[in-house]
Amino acid sequence: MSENDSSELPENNYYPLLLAGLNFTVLLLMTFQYMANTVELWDFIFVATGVYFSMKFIRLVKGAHEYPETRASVQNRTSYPTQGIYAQIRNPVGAACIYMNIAYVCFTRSFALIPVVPVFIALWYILAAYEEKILIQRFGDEYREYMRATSMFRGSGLDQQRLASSGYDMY
Amino acid sequence: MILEIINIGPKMAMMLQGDIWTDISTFLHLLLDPILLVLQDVGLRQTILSTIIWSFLVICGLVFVVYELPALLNLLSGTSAQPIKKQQKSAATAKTQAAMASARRHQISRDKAKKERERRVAAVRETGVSVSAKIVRERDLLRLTVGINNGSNSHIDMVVVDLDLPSGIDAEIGSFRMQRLGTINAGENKTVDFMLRPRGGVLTDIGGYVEFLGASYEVSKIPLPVPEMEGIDSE
Repeated sequence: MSENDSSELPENNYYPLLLAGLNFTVLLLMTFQYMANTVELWDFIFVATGVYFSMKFIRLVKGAHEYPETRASVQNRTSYPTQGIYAQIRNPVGAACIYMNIAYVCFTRSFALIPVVPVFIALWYILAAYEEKILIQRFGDEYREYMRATSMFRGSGLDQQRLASSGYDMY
Repeated sequence: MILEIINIGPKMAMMLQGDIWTDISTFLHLLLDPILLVLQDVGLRQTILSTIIWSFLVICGLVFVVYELPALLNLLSGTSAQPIKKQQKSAATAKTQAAMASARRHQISRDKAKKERERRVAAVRETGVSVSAKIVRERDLLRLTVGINNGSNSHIDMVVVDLDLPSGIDAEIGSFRMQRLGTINAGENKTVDFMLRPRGGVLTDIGGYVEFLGASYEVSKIPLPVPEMEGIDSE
């Protein structure tokens, strides 16, 4: 690890890219096939929910890519970001894709997607767990401490969580 | 013109005399009927929903592709991954920075604690209150006598003596670890006794403090001095 002012990270984090490609290709094909044609009140409500999850997807992807480490493979990372979206969520790309899966279900409004989406959510979880395992091996207790203060995918209620894990300002 | 203005009042009164809900309903129908009429068109509703859905799907796809494009190109072209320059924040440096920040915080904390201690000592000195502690053995028990002398020119209120007992020394049943002395007038002495049961603890480790409200309504805390032993060896 150099002490220079700048360092170089390779853009080689292919696993999220490949998984996203597979995930959304399958979902897109299913959307073409199974999207409901009804236009009742419930359909509008479902689509509004889908819009909400899509917005979350965009926010998380944008937040994650503010840090170059996101595009570097976990084996090549010399550090891990802890600011911005990473101050709340350890795997924002995985979280974004899970939200997008839910958005697809809401947009399609078809039961056909129900058995498929959990499979992809499980794959995103496995990828996140695999990456975290490597990061723990590389950064040790420092990363474990960071894990205690953040969530894998969800970012709510974290101020309290941070306080609880820090041991400061409790009394 | 004047007549028309004058006539508005009676007209309104006549309207109100009728069923007001019918009027509101009529008004809302006038306002919303065109919208409802348009939305009753199933084709239009389908167009609206499809536009929203596909817009969001395309936008989300584009967002993902734009951010992942460099890695995608590397993958497709099969070239070695292009390095990207980033501001250095290696794990070691992050650790060093964290350690330095922590050291700075600790230094600030130490300085604050020192200042606070000095301020308290000065405040206690200004109060003119002195505290003494003495231990006398009484059979199996120990009697700790804390004496408070108010050497100031004004009375002190809400005087409390609170003991901090080390392990191996307990307060005897019926004797409290904290006692209130109330007010001590200027030049007055007051003492308070605590009955303690030694169980192998070190007597010199007995601590505690005397807390009181001074004339300026400032709360002062004087730590107990190491107790004098009368006829006992400090264990």
